[in-house]
Amino acid sequence: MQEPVIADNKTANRELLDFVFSWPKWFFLVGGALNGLIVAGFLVVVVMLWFGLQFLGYSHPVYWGFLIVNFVFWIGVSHAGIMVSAILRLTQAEWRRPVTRAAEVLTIFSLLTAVQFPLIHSGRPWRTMYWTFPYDWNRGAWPNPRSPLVWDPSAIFTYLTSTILFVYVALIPDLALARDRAPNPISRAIYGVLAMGFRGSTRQWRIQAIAGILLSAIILPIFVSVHSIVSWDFAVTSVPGWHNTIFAPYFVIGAVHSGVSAVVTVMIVMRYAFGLKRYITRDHIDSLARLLIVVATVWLFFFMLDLFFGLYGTEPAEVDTWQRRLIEPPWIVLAIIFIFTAYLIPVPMWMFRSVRRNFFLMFVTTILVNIGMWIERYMVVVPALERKSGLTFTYGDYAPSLSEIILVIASFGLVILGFLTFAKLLPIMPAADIKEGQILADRIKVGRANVPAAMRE
Amino acid sequence: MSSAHEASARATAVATLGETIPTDAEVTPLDGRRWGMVIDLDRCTGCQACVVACQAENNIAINEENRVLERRAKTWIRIERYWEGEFPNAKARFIPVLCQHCGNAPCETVCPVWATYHNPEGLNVQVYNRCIGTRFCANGCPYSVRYFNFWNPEWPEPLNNQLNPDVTVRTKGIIEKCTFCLQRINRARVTSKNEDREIADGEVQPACVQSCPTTALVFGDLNDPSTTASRLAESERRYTLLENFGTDPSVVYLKKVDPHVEIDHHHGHHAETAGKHA
Amino acid sequence: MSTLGRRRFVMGSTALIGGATVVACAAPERESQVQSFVLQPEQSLPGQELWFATACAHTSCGNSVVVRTIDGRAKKVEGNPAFPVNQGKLNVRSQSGVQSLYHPDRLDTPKKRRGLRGAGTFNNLEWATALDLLAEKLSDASSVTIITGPISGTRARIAQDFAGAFAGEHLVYETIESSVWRQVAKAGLGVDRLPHLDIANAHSILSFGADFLSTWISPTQYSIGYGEFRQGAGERGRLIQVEPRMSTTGANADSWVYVHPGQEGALALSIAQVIAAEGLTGNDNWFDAVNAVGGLDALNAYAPDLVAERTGVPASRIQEIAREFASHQPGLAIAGGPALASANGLDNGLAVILLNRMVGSVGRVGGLLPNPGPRTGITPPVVPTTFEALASRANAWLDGDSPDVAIVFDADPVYGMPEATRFADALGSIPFVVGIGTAMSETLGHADLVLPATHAFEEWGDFAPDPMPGQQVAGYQQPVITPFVTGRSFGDVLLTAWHEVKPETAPTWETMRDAVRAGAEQSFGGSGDFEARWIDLLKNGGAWNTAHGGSFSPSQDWNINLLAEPQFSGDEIEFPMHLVPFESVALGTGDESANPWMQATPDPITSTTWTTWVEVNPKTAAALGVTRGDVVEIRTLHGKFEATVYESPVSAPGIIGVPIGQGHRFGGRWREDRGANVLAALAPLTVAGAGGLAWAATRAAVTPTNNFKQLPTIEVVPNARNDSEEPVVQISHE
Ligand SMILES: Nc1nc2c(c(=O)[nH]1)N[C@H]1C(S)=C(S)[C@@H](COP(=O)(O)OP(=O)(O)OC[C@H]3O[C@@H](n4cnc5c(=O)[nH]c(N)nc54)[C@H](O)[C@@H]3O)O[C@H]1N2
Ligand code: SF4
Ligand code: SF4
Ligand code: SF4
Ligand code: SF4
Repeated sequence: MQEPVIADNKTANRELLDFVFSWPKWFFLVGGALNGLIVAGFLVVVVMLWFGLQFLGYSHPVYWGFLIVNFVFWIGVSHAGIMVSAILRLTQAEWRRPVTRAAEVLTIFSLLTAVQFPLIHSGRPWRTMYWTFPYDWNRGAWPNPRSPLVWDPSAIFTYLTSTILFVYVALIPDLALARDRAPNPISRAIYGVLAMGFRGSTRQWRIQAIAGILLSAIILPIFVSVHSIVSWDFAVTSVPGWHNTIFAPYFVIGAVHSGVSAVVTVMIVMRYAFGLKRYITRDHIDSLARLLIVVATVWLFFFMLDLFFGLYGTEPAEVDTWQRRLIEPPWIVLAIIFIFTAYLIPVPMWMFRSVRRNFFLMFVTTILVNIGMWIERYMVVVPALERKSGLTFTYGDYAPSLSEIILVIASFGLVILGFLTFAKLLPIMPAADIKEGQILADRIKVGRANVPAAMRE
Repeated sequence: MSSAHEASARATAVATLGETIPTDAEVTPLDGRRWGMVIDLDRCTGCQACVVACQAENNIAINEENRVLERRAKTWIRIERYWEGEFPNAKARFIPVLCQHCGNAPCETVCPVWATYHNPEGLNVQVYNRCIGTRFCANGCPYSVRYFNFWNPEWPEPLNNQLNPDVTVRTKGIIEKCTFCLQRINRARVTSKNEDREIADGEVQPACVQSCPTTALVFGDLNDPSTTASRLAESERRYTLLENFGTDPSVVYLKKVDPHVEIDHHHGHHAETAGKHA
Repeated sequence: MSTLGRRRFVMGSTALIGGATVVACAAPERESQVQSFVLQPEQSLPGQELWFATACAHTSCGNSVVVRTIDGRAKKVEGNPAFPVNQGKLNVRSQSGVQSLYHPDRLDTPKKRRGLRGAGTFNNLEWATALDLLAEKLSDASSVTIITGPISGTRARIAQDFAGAFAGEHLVYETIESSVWRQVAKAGLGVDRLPHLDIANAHSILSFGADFLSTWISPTQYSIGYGEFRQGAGERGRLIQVEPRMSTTGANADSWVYVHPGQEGALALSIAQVIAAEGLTGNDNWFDAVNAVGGLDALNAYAPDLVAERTGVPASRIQEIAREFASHQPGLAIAGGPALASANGLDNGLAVILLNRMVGSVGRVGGLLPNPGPRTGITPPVVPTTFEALASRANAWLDGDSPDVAIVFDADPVYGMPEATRFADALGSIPFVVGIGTAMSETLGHADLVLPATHAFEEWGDFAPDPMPGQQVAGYQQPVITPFVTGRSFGDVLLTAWHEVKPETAPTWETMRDAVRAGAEQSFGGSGDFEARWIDLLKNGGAWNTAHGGSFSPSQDWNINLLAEPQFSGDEIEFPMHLVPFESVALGTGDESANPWMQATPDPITSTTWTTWVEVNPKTAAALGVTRGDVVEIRTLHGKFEATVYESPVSAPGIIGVPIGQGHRFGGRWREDRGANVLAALAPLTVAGAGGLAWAATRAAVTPTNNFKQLPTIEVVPNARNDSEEPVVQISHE
């Protein structure tokens, strides 16, 4: 699908950089509120460091809960950026252009938020460097390579690094643009350094384009590995309900489901918040919704496979876990909310073009998906731990404490504030990319033929 | 230094644990010592003497009422009681559950920092100093015998005078569990070494074993066929707990005998034959 | 008086069996004292462990322990491996001795009452002032009563002689009495001493309510035997437990049989009838035994069909029990718990003795064996004062006929006596009450003068276990650490006061240590230097010989026709439930309930900690409209209290079981204001002919309150079950 020309170069430059150089009042209000959430979360973390984890809802033997759920959730959301940017770029989906930057930035901030959760969740975060870094070469005290908790940081930090690189490469022309339009010398200098001398020469454009395509290709296996590895935090243990082979693809597709939904939510918010009505159109949302129908259905298929394998094996503990997850109160309430919000409500609605092109309905349904996907993670993590084996004497249960709820809310604050700050400092719409798209979309008359103004490399 | 001594010296030298990653052969020792325990359910009365002995020996924090209510009470050995039937034919069954020191321990593989690992004498060792408190091991343990420290333990003065200087007081943020009373094993090792002999059968008595009035608990080297423990472990009544997990425990249970129950050996079910009255 | 604190005990050391080194030696000085590395107390090396043999913290339990000390601190209590009673083993309560020793709320200064009796307000005193006050009151007193727990040896001797010298008496209070079992032995076996139960060699045990694996009489000793009984060299023994509420022993039985409270005797006679009618013993013992107590005709009145309804046990079941018991001989029949705590408890016990005589178990290996008396020179255990006698004392005191001074030690009758006896008021009518103890108790809360006692691990003593393990045993107690607080032992307080007030009648020795040593010399002296023998005694924790001793002379004059119907307090309409109080393994009668380990030790049956619960049959609970965690009010004719419901599938409809041991106002942070005291609400009924408290003879009404209390249990899912598909506890057929 080729986008029609929507704005001339000048207008585009002005509109896309507008938020970077203006200071709307709501920015301070929203930023202040988000900071409040983050401070609350920070205080909880300080209390946890000082007094131990006693204020969390964990008990014997349910030692993982909200914080791990939230970790998995944000890792999931982080799959949006690369899905949208890399895959769509490699498949040359033109409509991706306005969407990519926002998706990538969402990835960075949800990853940065996610990695904090296993840290603050551990009993002695200040020692967790033992785990993440091989710290002591003399005594040969290495991390245990058999533990998924060692694979996790490797995968996540690789993903984080490559995502930042990916965003940065795409950002360079826009940094140059910002440099050229910066209202004062200080910001001009900063943008100038960041733009690394990008002047828009053909060679520079060429290198930038090749780097972007290469990075897209390299990042894809990382993208698949990250959530696979997160799923192995569960799948390699012997906990009934956790040790399932299907977990890796199931987690990956679930991540894409929640990630792309989050992108749609964010796009719609941006459209109104940043005045980007011209750039984010019904066509974009429509395309993403079509993608979502496919993703959601594959995800449902994997969910059914997970259930099917569980029941087909007829292993009592596994069957028992499923039975409780889906049928027994209070889990049945969660199960119903989850399956309706994650699939049964949104997907049938998306089948209608009118829904797909309705910003309000798309906003609501994609929010619903992420509520459902958060609950889904909760239903994976907690019920399995509550009934681990035949030793019914030590069955446990779990309810989150206020501290955990604050931390989860604060994590949303952190992601949103990160996103907002980025948008404040740098163009959240890839101006260069959009303009490139427009050039590609431009048509000129050559004789009687109406041909594209530019050829693709 | 004999190879047994060498092996045990390595076991204690937890600081050097990273020097080699244990190979499979070390994980389930074949020729060295393998400390193990036999628990005769037909002797055990559920009297809790072992539970208190373990608390006393191992500086386990006081399980205040709130700790019990929150299910954060720590008992490295606990007596689980299971009902069968209804009044008047109801029965209570007792089983002491402690760390099974699995030869194939699901808690060990998942620990990111080697804070829990297998020593060459078959013990599942918990290195408190290394533990960062991810609690992953506790999830992995099907027996739920790993306990997390949600806070620093406190003993109001002068109760702290009772603390055993041979055993670390565990701080907040880490996991703790039964050690098979490693300090007692080490003491026996030093004594026997000074006296230039091998550790005798029965010389190592963990606190729970020592106190158990009915001698339901027997501790010893399961790799040495001459020990009482390994002889008992050969009993027809032997079974291991949650065998389906394939954890290869070092704790062997001897089945409870119930003369009024007939066992359907094919299905493992048991049916009451007598006592159905009223 | 020279205090123990300044003394050095330099004794010697040797290794003892079992790898435990039992040393009598210098108790190192206090931690705060600067210690020279050059001049150490002998054998005290910093960081080096020392093991001392001494008596268990609970001086009456008859166990000898070894205490591990390091740098002058007691670290761990273990059984004395050489001691024949407990053979190196120890039950939960004895192990918590280190916690009562270092209890943060331990008494450390003498206190004088300020305000009303029982208000618990005191002023601290200097020791010298306190002793002067005691001497002054004693010299003015015309009679002095001493109240202690069950004691023996030098302590008992001093208490008795002191009471004699001061024209008073020595009362021995035991919360849950062994006295009825003692009376049963006296009437049925002809000996005034508890018999030895040869559990290890028995092939079957028929126990009527005796919770011998948990709290009854000498549980550690019996549990050791039980291990052998089950899986020793011989045939696997069978345990049949008959009782209204499933005890820990009942939970371990091969057959657990519910019987209506107080009908244990009728059931025993019915079993006897089956044995006789079916000729199950294979010999003629039964004939003589039955003839001696009323003949076969009298016994036939108890044929299974005739008592099935009365006892609540189906006739066929009675026959099975009889066959199972009689066909696995030697067998042992015992009675305890509620069976003896009914108004007809003595009769129930004698009916059980009849069973032993019929199968030939009296005096036979694997049956009831006689116990020898204590060694000459060691005062035998003082026979506890019966409830009846104590209640009548209380009445007399209330009527103004009271002693001038009472000295209470290691006994808590204000807690344990039913409120209906008004024991607290009676104690209040004594002009001056002195309490000696390591921690406050309800009784000490009512005292005028409270003297901090040394802990069992800080003092000298000797004891004769009761019952002995079928052989003559003497136990010795020595300080294993320098006293941690400036307490004085009960014996030392009495001796000091005695020498001060009535030097003319006072014994020659001035301290407990001298008294114990003098007693030991009398018992074990012989010719030659006694010092070496003395050190041996301390090192070993005592002395014993392997020869069995004593004999029974069973001339029973009790008659089957005398078996009485049980009497209960409260009518069936207003009080529809039978209240069965019981001792849980850690709380016992509440003596060690101040120790947090004991509060936190789960009850074996319900896994409950830290509170008072009530065991209710699930159907009964449903009928009452209550469920686990609901707080109910339990009302008797004589009082009421609240407890939290535990729905127990092993509980009988119509029976409510409530643990003893909580509901204290005194005793420190871990036990004050926790749970309820069931004993206070009991009816003051006595066991006819034995005088004991019939503590299982009270009926009660249960009414829901609107309160809920989450039960602090270790079990998480209510009523965890052993799944027959995947059993956690696997069962094997014989
Ligand atoms: N309890 C106990 N006491 C002992 C001993 C024992 O075994 N136990 N051993 C005894 C023996 S054998 C000895 S040798 C002594 C040792 O006793 P000290 O001589 O007190 O030895 P250290 O404490 O090792 O070091 C003293 C200080 O030197 C500092 N230092 C290190 N390098 C340098 C440097 O290059 N320049 C300067 N200016 N300072 C430096 C260190 O930081 C430290 O603060 O202790 C004796 N005292
Ligand atoms: S019982 Fe649990 S903690 Fe112990 S070794 Fe096995 S898996 Fe690890
Ligand atoms: S809690 Fe400690 S021992 Fe357990 S996995 Fe984490 S670091 Fe390892
Ligand atoms: S072996 Fe030691 S640490 Fe383990 S349960 Fe027994 S007493 Fe406790
Ligand atoms: S001490 Fe022995 S008999 Fe008592 S509960 Fe423990 S294992 Fe069972």
